Amino acid sequence: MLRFLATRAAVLLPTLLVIITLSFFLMRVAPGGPFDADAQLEPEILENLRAAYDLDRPLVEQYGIYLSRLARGDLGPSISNKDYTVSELIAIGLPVSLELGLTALLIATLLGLPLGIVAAAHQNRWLDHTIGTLAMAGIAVPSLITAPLLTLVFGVMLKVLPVAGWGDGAWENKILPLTALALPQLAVIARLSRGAFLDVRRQNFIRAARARGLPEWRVVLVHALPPTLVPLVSYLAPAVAGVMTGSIVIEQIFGLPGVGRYFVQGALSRDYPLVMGVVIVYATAVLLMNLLADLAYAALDPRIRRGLLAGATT
Amino acid sequence: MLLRSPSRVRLAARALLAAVVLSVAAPAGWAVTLNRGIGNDPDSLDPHKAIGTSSSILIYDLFEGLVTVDARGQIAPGAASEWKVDATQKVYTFTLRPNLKWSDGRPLTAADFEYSFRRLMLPETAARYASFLYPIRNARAVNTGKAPVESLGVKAVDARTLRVELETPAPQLTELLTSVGAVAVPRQAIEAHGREWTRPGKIVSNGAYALAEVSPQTFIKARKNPHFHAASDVAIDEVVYFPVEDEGTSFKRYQAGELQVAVKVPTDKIEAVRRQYAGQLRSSPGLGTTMLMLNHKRKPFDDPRVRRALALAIDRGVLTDRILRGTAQPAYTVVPGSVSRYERPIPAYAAAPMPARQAEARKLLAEAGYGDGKPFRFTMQYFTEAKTRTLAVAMVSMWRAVGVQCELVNKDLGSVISSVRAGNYEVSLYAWFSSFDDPSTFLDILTTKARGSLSGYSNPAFDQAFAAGNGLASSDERSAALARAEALAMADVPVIPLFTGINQRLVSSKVQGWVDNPRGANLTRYLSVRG
Repeated sequence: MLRFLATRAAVLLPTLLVIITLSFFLMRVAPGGPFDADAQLEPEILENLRAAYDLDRPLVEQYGIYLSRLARGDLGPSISNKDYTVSELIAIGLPVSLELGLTALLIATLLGLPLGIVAAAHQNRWLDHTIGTLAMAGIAVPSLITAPLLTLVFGVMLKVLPVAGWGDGAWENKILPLTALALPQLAVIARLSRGAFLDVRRQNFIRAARARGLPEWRVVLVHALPPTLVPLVSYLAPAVAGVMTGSIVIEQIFGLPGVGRYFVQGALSRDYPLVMGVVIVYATAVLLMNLLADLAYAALDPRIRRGLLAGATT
Repeated sequence: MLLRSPSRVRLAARALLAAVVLSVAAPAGWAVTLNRGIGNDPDSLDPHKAIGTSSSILIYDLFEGLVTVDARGQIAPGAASEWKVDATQKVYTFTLRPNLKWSDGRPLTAADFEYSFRRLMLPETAARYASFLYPIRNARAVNTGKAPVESLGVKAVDARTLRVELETPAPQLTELLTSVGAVAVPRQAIEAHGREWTRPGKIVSNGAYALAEVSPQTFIKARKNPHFHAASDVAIDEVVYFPVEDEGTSFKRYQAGELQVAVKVPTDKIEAVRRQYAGQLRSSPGLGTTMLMLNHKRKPFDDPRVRRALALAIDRGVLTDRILRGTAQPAYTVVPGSVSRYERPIPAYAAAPMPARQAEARKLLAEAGYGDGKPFRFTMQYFTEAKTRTLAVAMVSMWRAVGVQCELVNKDLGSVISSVRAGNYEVSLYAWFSSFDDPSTFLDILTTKARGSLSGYSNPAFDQAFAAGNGLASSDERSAALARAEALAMADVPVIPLFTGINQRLVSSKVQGWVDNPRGANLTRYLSVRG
């Protein structure tokens, strides 16, 4: 197990370096530069600006400068948010995205999983159909629609919650974005867990458990639940990485200070250091979450655990 | 349930009591606050680094230059109470108000302005707006590292006197000095804190307000600066600026009363907004022109007949009224109608009926060798922004009516601008904005440049007329001469002006003192909030 972990961890850094290198050069190949959106820029001013951000040096030298700074934990200055470094922007935005994303996902799992299991337990009956229809609606309606709708109803018409803004993290400001973020996740999780639970129920070890005369709650909670979680974990791992790094739509509509906006803002304004910064954060999150998912599989399903151990020792 | 209800009643009663107490207490000791929506999160609070309107809203409230604007957006004395120009029209002497102070209480002298202009021009500052003040002697040389900063034509003669020397007469100098780049910046804070000097607790400023709190992407709070020279006239104690990028969110926050000023109003809901908020929707044409850039280096755009035909075929009214729903006005000149004291040389065809214009366009195209057998084909690039696709498609169909086939290419704004700069386009949607109420910043795009102008247009007669007119000392004569120069250029149809956007803002009826102006400058110090 430890060896498995060590091999996986050892691949992390080189993978990250490949991602950094590819992003660095791909971004420079894309047409346009960080000062291009400014139609009136005089050539003299452009030269000063390029020099200020080392953009006047050869590309390979810029890459070297970037890597040596990165090794010291410095992500460089942001070109579009001039008063802050990329590290500062991420340090301010990431906690907001983390808090919102993880809370939303937690709510979605805590509600979605029981809903899915209830639906599976009542397979093809009205309760199953109702949950199924609602879940489909939850998946089909994007947050681009639900978010403005929520603000319209609760913010403008009923005036019970703020339309937008973070308000220094006051709970009123979090309700609507959390709802908009959690709804589609909840729907997916409910559908996934229904399917997984139905699958598991047909397995021999469940029949065996029933045959041993175990009470139904024990069969469901102790024997059926853990393997039901396996496909859920496969979904949740990248989903966690996704919600952690923010949702551009939710952040825009609710005016939240998360990091999601920096993906789009950085890319559109060709703010190279900012894009690199968010790419590194996102890539690290995805890699770590996948590693965690692998560990979770092993914990949840003895069959996978044995497979991993066999793979690691051969 | 029964057990909990009494406590709920008690809770409600307590809340009610609190509300009554608060509402009674409010007028007595509470500060007057303005919740002001701004567009994007400001890119910087450093006046030498900031670009864009949302930063300028803040910088105008926090800092002040020698010259500022009044409540109507007109030039007014700022830190300088008066100024004189010598007979050569090249030396300006500014006299600062007595006892000026920074927000930290330190005295502000002419030496602070000397420092500020020098910092603006130093190449390492990489100030975006430095080029606006190139008329100052040696400014361009200093800014390009070709001359020492001490040679800059800005000198503090004594504590209250600043002398500004120019390369050539520039009657628009006071206009240029309203730029955010021309404000005083605090040497003490910049030298003490370096790049972090704009943070709360470190920043020092000389405007009506002082920065109190910043929460990036969320809000920025500023409080009245007691050391400001006109502090007794400032009615609002505290301003909270809310960056709101999304138009829909901006409008909803305004509807919910979270914002008292909203700068973003959704164009697609404009009719409803006009109905619902009749007295609160403020519209004023901006200082900008959206146009089609034509690449004169590519055939057949070097042929004036072709350019003229394309210009004739576009019905500006359809673009501004039907697509932009009255949020823009037609433009036939590069200088927008919002520039004051300027008589635009509007071409005669502007008033002609469309069928006549289309017939004329077909005739010109036939003369240029195009017709049914050989249709004129080209590509037009446009940028992804609200309504631009609809506008582009509308123009394609207008051209189709005169037998021209246009293919559309969609790019992001940065790519459109960079390909225009590189001369790598045929026709491009383009927009030109200015923060100055002066024709020269617009006409400049038509001049022949050493490195090549954006369109490749070059007319020595226009260049000469522009340069001669621009240097005239009398403001009226200068305007007339510049208008004649523009008429000269527009006869060649170097570019195709389309429209000038009308800025839409929502201002609560509680906010008083708001005067619409093309500059879009509404300094908080001139506003008040009715209880």
